[in-house]
Amino acid sequence: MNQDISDLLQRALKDDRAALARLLSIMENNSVLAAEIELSLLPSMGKSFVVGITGPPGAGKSSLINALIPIAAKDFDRTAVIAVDPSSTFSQGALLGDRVRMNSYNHSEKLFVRSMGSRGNLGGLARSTVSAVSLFDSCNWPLIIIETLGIGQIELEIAEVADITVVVLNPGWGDTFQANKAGITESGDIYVINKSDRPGVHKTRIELEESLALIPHRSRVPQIVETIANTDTGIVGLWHTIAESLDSKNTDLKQIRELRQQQLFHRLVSFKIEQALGVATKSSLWKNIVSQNIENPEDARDLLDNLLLDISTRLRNY
Amino acid sequence: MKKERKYDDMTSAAGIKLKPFYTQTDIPQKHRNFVDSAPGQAPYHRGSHETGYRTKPWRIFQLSGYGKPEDENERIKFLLKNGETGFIMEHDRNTADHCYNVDHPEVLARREDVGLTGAVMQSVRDTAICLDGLPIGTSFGHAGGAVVQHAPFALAAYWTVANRLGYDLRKIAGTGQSDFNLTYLGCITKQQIPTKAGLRLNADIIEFCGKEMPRWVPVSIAGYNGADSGLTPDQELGSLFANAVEYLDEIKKRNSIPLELAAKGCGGVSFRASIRIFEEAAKMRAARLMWGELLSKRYDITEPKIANLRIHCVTAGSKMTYQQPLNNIVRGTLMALSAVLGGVQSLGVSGYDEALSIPSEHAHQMSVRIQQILQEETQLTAVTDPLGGSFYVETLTAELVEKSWEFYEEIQEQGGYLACLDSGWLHTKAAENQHREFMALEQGDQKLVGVTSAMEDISPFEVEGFMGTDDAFDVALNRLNTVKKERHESSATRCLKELEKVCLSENVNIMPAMMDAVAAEVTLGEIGDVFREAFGDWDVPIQL
Amino acid sequence: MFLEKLLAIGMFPYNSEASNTMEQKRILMAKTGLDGHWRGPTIVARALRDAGYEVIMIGMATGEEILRACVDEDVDLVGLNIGGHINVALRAIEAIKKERQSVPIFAGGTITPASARELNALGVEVYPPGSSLTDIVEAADRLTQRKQA
Repeated sequence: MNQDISDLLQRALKDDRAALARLLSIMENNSVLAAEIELSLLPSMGKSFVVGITGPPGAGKSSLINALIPIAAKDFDRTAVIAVDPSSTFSQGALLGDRVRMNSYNHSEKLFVRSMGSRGNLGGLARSTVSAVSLFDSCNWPLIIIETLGIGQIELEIAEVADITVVVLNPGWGDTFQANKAGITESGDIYVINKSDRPGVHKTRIELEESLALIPHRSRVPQIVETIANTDTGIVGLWHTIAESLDSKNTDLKQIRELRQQQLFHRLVSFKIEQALGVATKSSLWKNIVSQNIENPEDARDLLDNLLLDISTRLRNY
Repeated sequence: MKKERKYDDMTSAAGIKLKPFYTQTDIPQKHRNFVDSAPGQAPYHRGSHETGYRTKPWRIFQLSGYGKPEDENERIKFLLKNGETGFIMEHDRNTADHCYNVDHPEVLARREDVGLTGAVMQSVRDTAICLDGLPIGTSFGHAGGAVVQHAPFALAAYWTVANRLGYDLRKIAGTGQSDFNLTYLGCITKQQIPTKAGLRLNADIIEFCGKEMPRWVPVSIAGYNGADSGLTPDQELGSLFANAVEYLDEIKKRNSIPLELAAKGCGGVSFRASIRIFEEAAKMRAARLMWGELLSKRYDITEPKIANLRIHCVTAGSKMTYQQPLNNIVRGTLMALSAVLGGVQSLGVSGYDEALSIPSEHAHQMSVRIQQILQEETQLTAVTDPLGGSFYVETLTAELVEKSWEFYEEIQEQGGYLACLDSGWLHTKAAENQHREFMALEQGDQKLVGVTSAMEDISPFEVEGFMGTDDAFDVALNRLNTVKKERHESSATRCLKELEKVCLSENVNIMPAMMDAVAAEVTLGEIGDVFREAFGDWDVPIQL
Repeated sequence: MFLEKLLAIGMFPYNSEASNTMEQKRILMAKTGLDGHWRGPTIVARALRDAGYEVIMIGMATGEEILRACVDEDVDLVGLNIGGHINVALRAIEAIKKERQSVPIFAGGTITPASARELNALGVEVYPPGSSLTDIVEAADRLTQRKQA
């Protein structure tokens, strides 16, 4: 198993698409293993930019990405897109249809589109999305776009993963998403009012500006760009805005890398603890301890110490 | 305990609960006043005129075409010889629906598909071949252009050929359909112009016909395409009138032709005739009543010649089964019967091989024969609106009217018909219905003979399906190259430039420039490129 | 280092022998023709989704595009909706078979009996109009070798 994965990794790093694709599946099927793989990728990571594109359903995110790709190609040699859609909570299945709209570069070797179901993870991303980003990064995909559904607070998660977060809205947004305005306006670096040929664009811009002004502690005031993705209107301008933002972050590349590394370790350690805990709670020792009769607070404290000791022993033994 | 029958059997497709029998008191009070009206008079539900089919039998109007323009020409002549009384020129889906020439990469990748569903017509030369010897002056012709972005080209080509053959454009009759339901709801194309641009093109056609071609039906809204995509009868009606309102409001806003002309133009529509006979017949009656109401209430138009809806009907293709295809002859007959009982002006019966392929010559002949039997042997044509006064059918008609107006209002609340296409709201409705319908079959609540029950088939005939010709692509490619080589290049270029300019300007009617371009042998794909450049692509609101 | 240890104590879900987590199977659905009927394919896609599959829908696609999606999305099964001439579908099938020999294919749509026989001969299962969703989901389970929950 292990050998298989390292073979696949070597092939993927040598630009074998099928191996990369297989690894992505392996990562999706096991987010702990995904983080492990990521760990081994750390030396080769940190060369790519990650642009998050989020917004409510039907805002035109995929179409916007489709329009951006050919323009981004002038600055970035190749582009990977990870399109995450929610999985059904009943069946765990999912309909993943974003690829349909990303046909502008269909024949090109320079685009890699990967669809992902969120597989029960809340927050707009799948558990393994971040690992997938690291893999693309290591395999020399210099621009990675993550598309996720966002209707409120949840897209904060993408803001943690992406270097730049673009929030896509439509005219009339203020009326529809009243309750979630706060969440959506906290996460973005750039705001796009797509389908700007529809009525209400001016009102939406003003509402958006007002909402953004309410948020304190921003190093940079987010820009608002108007586009019509299906007629390519405003797309070049949008790309300039994104590229400028990326440029200004370029100097912080070292910082970004450190942050990602930090996040990875954090993630991995919490996975480990989660797993160790899962096994520990089933052990007779734990069952024994937690069911003891407790007569004074000191006893409780002692028992807890015993549990923590058991966990740390288990973790040390890995 | 006696097993209770499934409730669903007793509910109509529109969701109306059916009673075991009806009496006079079931007919809603308002509608009771209408029962005694005569056909041809308000509220029009009883039919378009008193003498009905006695003086004007319904038009036998079959969808036809495949292969090269000459193949299509031959098939149309075959149908006319066999008794068809109008003709439909079906264009190839790959090229026409998308406004691509055959050398477009999307078409090249599927070259064998070219000509499978209609003839390839990329320039006015091809249209001329297809129309050779056809009765343009005496028949109602369907010029093709069922698809919104294709209609201006198809119509201009038909009219240009007709004109060259010496026909007076003011006198010829026909339609091009140019229907939104077809490719924005039913069979969504790979690429097409946004609905807003489509509305402009259709309004341009209505305006142009209003000025130049009084007998032509400029656009023909196809409820059929909504229904066969999953809309229930009330939704089919509600969405059709919501669509009509988009056109009429636009024309009213332009104020360039009398609104009555536009209303007359929009009053030639098509519906689907499905298998639940009385509900379908009631639907046609409800449609006429609603059109009269709509015109008088919203536009203050009451002139009977305009307020009287003219209906073309096609039997439900999706009801035709793959298994035991000969059963489809019976289904076609029953669905045709529902249309005739509803008093339609024109009818096409789907081929018995519909679920396998486009109609073979024999399937086509059967579709005509079914209609001839209905016209000649059954005495169905003797009395207008034979269902008039039936407690059941009158009640059903009134209830459909009510439900359909409710759906119409729902659409208006969503911002209108086109907004509902853009948002995917109509698609969601259609998909929900399809899913329910499919589940009813799957779970055995609804039977489909030969498919979910009675599956034994001892028919000695194997229906193989019809695959057209092999040379449509090659010939089309040759002809495309020839026309580009032989045409007067500078006038073609000039006309294309002019067309582009007109597309980009907001207040100029596109049709004169389109007529010039087509006459200068500008090709379909070049026109498509201009459209794509000027209008962009429609954002498909659903997962395909 | 701890990777082996985790595997050894059977804690690693990826160690399939010791694991009870279900691997999510992925199905690619494409239409070979430029004919945009979406009724049938959508109903099938929904049924597969409800049966727990991740269904990647790419709509109308050429053989090249289908192959590209098949590779990049690393799917376990390809479903083709065939709307036109059988040769167009055959080209797509050939392309998939050449590069992804092990990926099974099934097909639906308006397929004449003769074409259905041709597809069967290539190992492509055919589900014509009127096929039951239960049969289609069962076929997917069988073709992807999915373990029944």
